[in-house]
Amino acid sequence: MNPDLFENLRLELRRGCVVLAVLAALRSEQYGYTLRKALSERGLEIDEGTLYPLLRRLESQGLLDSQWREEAKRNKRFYRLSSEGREVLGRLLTEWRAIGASLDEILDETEG
Amino acid sequence: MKVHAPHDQSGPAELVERYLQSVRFLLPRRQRDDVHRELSAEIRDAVEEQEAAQGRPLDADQVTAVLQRFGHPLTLALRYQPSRTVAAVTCCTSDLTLAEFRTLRAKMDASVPSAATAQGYLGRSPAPTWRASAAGPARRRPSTA
Repeated sequence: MNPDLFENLRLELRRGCVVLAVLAALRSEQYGYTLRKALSERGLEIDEGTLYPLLRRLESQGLLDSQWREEAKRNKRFYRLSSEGREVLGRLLTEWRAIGASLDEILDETEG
Repeated sequence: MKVHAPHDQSGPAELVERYLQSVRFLLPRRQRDDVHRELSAEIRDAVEEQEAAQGRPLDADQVTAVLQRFGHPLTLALRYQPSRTVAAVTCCTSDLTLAEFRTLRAKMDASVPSAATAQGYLGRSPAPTWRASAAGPARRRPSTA
């Protein structure tokens, strides 16, 4: 097997899941560093180089709101889900669960 | 005798500053200040957290490891762009008729990933003159015979 094949498929699968996880985590406001830690504590490691640009892109798409605020005597950029983001997240989660349910059924059939 | 790291002799703070400046330079003007400010704060947090954990300042290698998680400046800057889709073109000889096949001409191996049309993707044609000598006749290539 091409050694890159699995890695490519894994990254492709992961990409959408990371967006979902970031949106879900930002139902409560956080800045980049604490968000990354929160995700990592739940087993989802995201490199800084992936996370920070992603936050900006989601913000420019209107899914996140952000604001500069001081915390611990340092300015941080805080992100949170926008109202549009909340709606999109809801729809994505429905989709996610439907895909999972279908996959389970397909797996059951082939095993049975 | 004092031994220097062969690759870099900069201090940790200087490494971070140089990294930030590289990323900044590669970003579109309208994003520069804002992204620079955010990355600067986030990198400092990451460094300080690790320093608190180990109870002493990070050395240059450790700072480099932190920066590596942020990625190469060019990679990082590109990720801030709205679309990361790069042109992907596949040409199969089976798609061509024999007549079309006979019209094919060699071209310098170069492309313009940001192009919006097939012609644009192929870039300049014919090859620029500086390339002509390098791609010259086979008999001019060094021979082992």
